[in-house]
Amino acid sequence: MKYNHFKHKMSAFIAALAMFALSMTATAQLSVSGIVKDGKTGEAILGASVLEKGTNNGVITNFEGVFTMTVASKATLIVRYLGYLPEEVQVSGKTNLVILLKEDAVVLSEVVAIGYGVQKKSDKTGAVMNVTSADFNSGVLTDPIQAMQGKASGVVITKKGGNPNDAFSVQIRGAGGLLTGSSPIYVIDGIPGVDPTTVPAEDIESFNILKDASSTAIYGSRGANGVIIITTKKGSSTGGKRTINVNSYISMDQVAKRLDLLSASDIRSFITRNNLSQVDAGGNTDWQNEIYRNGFTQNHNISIGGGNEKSNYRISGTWSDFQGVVKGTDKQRFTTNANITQKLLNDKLVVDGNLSATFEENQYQDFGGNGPTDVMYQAFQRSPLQPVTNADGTYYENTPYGFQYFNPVAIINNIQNQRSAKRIRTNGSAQYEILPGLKAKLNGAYTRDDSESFYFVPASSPTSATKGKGERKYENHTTKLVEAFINYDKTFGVHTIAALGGYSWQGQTNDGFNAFGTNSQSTYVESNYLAALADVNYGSIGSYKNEWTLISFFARAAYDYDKKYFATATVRRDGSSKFGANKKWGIFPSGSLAWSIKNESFLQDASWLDQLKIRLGYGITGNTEKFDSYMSIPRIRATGMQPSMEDGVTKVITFKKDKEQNDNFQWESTQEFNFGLDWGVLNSKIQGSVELYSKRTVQLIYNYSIPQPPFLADNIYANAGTMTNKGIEANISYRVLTMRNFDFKTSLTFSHNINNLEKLSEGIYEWKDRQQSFINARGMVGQWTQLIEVGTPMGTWYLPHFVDISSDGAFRYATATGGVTRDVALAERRNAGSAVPKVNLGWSNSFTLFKNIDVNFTVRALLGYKVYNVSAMYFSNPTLLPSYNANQQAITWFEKGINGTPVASDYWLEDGSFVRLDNLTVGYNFPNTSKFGINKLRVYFTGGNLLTITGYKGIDPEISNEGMSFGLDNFNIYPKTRNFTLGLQLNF
Amino acid sequence: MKKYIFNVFALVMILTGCTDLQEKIYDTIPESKFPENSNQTANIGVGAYDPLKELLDGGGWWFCQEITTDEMVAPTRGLDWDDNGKWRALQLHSWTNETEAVVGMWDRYYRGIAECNKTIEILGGDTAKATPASKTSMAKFIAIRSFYYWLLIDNYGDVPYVTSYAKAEAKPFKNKRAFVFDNIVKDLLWAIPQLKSSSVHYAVSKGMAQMTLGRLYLNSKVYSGTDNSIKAIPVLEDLIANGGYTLAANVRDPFLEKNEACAENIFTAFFDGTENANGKPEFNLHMRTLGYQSNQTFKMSVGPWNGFATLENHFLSYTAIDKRRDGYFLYGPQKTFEGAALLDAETSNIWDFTPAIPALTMSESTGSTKSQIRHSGVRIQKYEIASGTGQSCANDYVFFRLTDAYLMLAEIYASQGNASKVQLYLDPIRTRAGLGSPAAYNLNAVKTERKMELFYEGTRRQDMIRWGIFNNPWDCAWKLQLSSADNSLFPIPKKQTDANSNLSLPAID
Repeated sequence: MKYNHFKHKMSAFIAALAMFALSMTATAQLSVSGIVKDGKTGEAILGASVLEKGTNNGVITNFEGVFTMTVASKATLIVRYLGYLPEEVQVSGKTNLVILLKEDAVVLSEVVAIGYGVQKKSDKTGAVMNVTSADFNSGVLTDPIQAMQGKASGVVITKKGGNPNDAFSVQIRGAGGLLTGSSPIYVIDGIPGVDPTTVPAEDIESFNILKDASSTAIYGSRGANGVIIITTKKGSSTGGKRTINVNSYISMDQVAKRLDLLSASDIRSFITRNNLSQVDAGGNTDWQNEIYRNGFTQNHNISIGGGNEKSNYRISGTWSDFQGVVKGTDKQRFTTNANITQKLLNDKLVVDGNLSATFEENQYQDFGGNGPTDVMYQAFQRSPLQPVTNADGTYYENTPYGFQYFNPVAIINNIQNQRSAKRIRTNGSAQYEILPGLKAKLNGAYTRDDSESFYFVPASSPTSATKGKGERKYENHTTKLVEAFINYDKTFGVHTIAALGGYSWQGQTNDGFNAFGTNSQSTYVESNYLAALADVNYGSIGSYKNEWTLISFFARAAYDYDKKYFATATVRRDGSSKFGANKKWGIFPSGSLAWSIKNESFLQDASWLDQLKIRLGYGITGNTEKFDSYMSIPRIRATGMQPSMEDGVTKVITFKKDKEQNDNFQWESTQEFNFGLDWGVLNSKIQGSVELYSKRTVQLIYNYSIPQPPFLADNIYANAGTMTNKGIEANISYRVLTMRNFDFKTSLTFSHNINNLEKLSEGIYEWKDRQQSFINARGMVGQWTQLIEVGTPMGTWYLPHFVDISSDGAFRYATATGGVTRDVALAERRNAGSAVPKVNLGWSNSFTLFKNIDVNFTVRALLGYKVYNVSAMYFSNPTLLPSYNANQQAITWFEKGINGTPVASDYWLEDGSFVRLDNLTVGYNFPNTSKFGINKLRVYFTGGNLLTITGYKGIDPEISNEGMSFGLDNFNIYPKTRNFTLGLQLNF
Repeated sequence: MKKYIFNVFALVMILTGCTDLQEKIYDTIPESKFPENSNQTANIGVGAYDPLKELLDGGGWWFCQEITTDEMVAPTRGLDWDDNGKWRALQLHSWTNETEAVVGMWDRYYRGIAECNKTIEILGGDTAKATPASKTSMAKFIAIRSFYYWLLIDNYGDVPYVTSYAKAEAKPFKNKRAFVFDNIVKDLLWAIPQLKSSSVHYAVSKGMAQMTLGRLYLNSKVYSGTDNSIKAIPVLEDLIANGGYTLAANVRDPFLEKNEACAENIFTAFFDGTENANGKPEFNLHMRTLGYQSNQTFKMSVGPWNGFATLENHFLSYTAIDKRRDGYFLYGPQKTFEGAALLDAETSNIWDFTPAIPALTMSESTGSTKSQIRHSGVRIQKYEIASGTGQSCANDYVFFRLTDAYLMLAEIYASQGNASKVQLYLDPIRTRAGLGSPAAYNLNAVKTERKMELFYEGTRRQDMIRWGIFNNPWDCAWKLQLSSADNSLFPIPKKQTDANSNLSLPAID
């Protein structure tokens, strides 16, 4: 609506940043050139850094591995490239150098972040995966987590629909609990609990995913759903020269699939054919056309980085503008990040500082169900016989026409629904090397996450029962973190130890304020001027403030003997203010072992085998992230105001206790075994790993109904249930071809999880079952589709079984005794399958042709699950005709005399399995750019969601398995989009 | 250096409060600090009234008293009001322990009872040792508690009788209906002398306690097996003589938007019309009954939901001269506020609320016309729908009014054959309605009058059970079969028996 101004400012800022970077270009005097090659294969290495020793003078090799630079004639060059040992070369007057690099076996195996430290990948004992920036998905990324979608086995990243304002759902190893959700915790540059959307994908160096409890136990009470450690990019300390990176793309988004509904002519001929009476407003409207558009998205990232042996820096700015395919849904985001690292006191002290700020503007539309302002439902149900506007240009409403029936175009254009967020993250650390191998680190962070919301419905909008409404809302979240820890790493002969001990304090304060009024007297001022709202009643002003504190002590010891036998033990003691007075503290231990069989003497000669390692781990973790403060203690809340009971005049605010006290309210505790196998053969041409796990979460938290009498409040938060998750994950990568002009790598990830609810009740907290996943549609209130009960997994459909349609047009269902009934109340409810996919697959492929053409594609599949198609059920209802829009099925059934409001049954379940070509990217690297001072210039084209193979008939079968209710397509799936992206990457 | 590092560690831990995990509350009052002042103390028991407001809608009580009877129905109209059969289940007496309205009542009653018990304990707990002032306060909460217990035994039969908050058992057993009945009668007999009359009708008064006791006695045969209705006579005659209430001049006066001051009303639930904006329990029966476009008739700010209607025979029992016909009902061709014909936006036909409802489930593909689906059934405007009304009415909902006391007395005297007393209490009501004398001043005349006068006021189910006709078929297209006698009670909600398995055991005394 009003962001153009903001956009212009951002463009100007980015231009200024680029100018600044250019002005920093260095100059020198004497010229050498050379080529850097792999010492073994002789292949040229592009992107190697060449630094004149003792100076800041350095360059990066180009596509042919060639570099040219001006140095002192007696200079020494240091050549570095990831995975190779650094090479020092004396120039000694030579002007043409051939530099061969040797592979570094240790570095090649990379390091993985494991929380408060790193570990060589080859030394890991837990289920840890990492995805580095080289493997990220490209194209439109509305959320950085999308960069690793399909890349890590057992990390199920899904999103219901394509709304740019919606988050992705990330689930590691099944459902986490009943109320806890399944989202892992994100640790960004050492700060736990940061929202990953505040980091642009371009600024991320790697994602490290800690999957099993033996790995996550170092995060104690927050580790149960897995931990994703995000490491951001730092300035290069080896290049010696500043580099500038520009990543830009523009993209066009289209609606990938629409709901198949009737047209005006379909309905007119239906009316004539069946001789029905219906007012015809003379319109010919495709309402989906009216609310959809092609979305134009752009994203620009520029970063400047550089440094030397002593210090380095990196500054980046990212501007993104996402236009949703539903009109009136937008997201603009600007993120800036600055990082500086300085070494002091003979390199013993390393000081690091980081400042990041994100500004986001959102514009929303409602689409969550069948409410008056849910634009998708309103567009779907609206009669195509009705025009968008009257002859005089005003919106055609004709209300009230039916229950909650409103013009969606008017909703989009008349209702203001915006948010503006400011997020700042600042952190600093100082690490001091007391003795060789003994390092102490102090870490501090402060994050601030503020947002404002604006909501306005004009009095003229027929959607409002209160003659319009204006509302403003502020929410502030402040988090502080202080950590101090000591690392000790030492190798004595064949013994290597790594030890860690530390303390952490983290606290968060949340506060907010909102005010609204109704009976709006001015449309012009929208919610900017609440004084124009005539009715402000008790309850129109609200505010809150709460806080929590988490205090931890943690330790880890890792040992390996001769790189054959590995052992790791961790323990964390967490204290959280969120829990009951008797249960504030918890202990979360873990232990893991690994045996690198390949390093045994009997396999030394097996040259075909590069790696063979088995791992075994056990740990206990907890879950606190999703819980609010004060769940264990009753609070007295104001419940309303009314005139006094004594005199009928004096105003009295009534107070009520919200819940019962539970001093024993405590962590959900997850015990997990993990068995892992890592292997690699044929020079690591083929490698992979397999993980088997068994997780058991006890003391599940639920909001228990407690008997009334005797309790005053009808609920209490308590721990009683048990849930298990067991599964297998595997990934395999195969470097199929490594030829000079053709390189092809493919990798596959697979996961399968089995969830089960073992127990729901304990002591006075009794709970037999709960009906779940209610259909939310007009005239269909109270129809449930899932049952949560002991012995069944979360997401189990529990529905009457459809048998047939009788000759006189009635739906018939199976009874428990093997008969058939028309009365669904007499039908037997059966387990009808699950909304949770049995198998998750990701398949990534990367081709490089003639060194400068790259082709990548990613295929993702969710297989073996069922989606309940409420949209089909609702729009197949013959009763909708001819007043409302419906689908072809409704016409068929009407004409056959099949009748009645559709009833929940397995008839409406559909197989949701799909295979999606998520991403296809073709890139071209321009050769010989170095003469223009450009290290890299790549242009690419990405097609997103180009193809979805599914039998599902609704808009899209992809669902998020979040919470206790999922799997319903209830007119609330924002269309998935197909997008075409043109991008540019520039490094100079 | 090591020492320095450890000092830093120590400093960090001290600065950060090391291990302080106290959960500080900022935005609500901690239980230990409540009540903070005399004002909060004075109003500490107001929460006991809160569930009353919910009885009309989400709490399910009103639906269970009216939709289960021969005076109100919520038919399925095409797309709307199927709602998985929850309305049909009430009308056809096929509800279960999971039917929404059946589940809703229990929570509300016991929440109110627990609030009362807690307040009584804050006031001292022991009625024998109380000062006169605290006796009056305690009596109020004992009276509301009795009101909730009366509704509990009326709807569920055997229920746990719990009179303490602090000492309540975690999983109480059911008490027999007669046992609970005896105890609440005892409580009310103690409370009535302590209570005073009040002009604030949504507050507990002596009249409210007397009406509750009157209804308990009137239905005593049902509740306890012994008919003690005669004991209601002195209670209700005292109310009429000394309560300060008077019959309103017009049939609709007790139900006007501004009915707070109406001297006929004895006990009401307070509403001011702002509930929708503030997310509070609404009084929205008008939304449920009025047609989609009736907002144009009443200049409402929102389109109603086109649902509830009265049954044809009930409507037809009012003659043309009966002032209650126009006063209570909305029937025939509808007009806009300005007086023009109200045309249906879907068909252009005039909105015409016709008495006959062809089926409990109406749809075009089963032969109902669109106008039948949308228009059939006479709608209710007993509670005035004032111009500008939104989703919640500002009228107070009436639980007890003086007319009910007249009709109760008429009924008790009629069963004793005392025609002159029946006439004494029936005539003022019939006269106000524009009617003359009935054919005879007998029980039948009283039953008819009670049904017509107290229509829509939540008494019909109780009356039909008392008169033994609740399970009969009634004269309409759907309730053709005798329902089981068990249906005079609702089952204890599954949610409650799941949480407390003792509720499934036989009741104790």
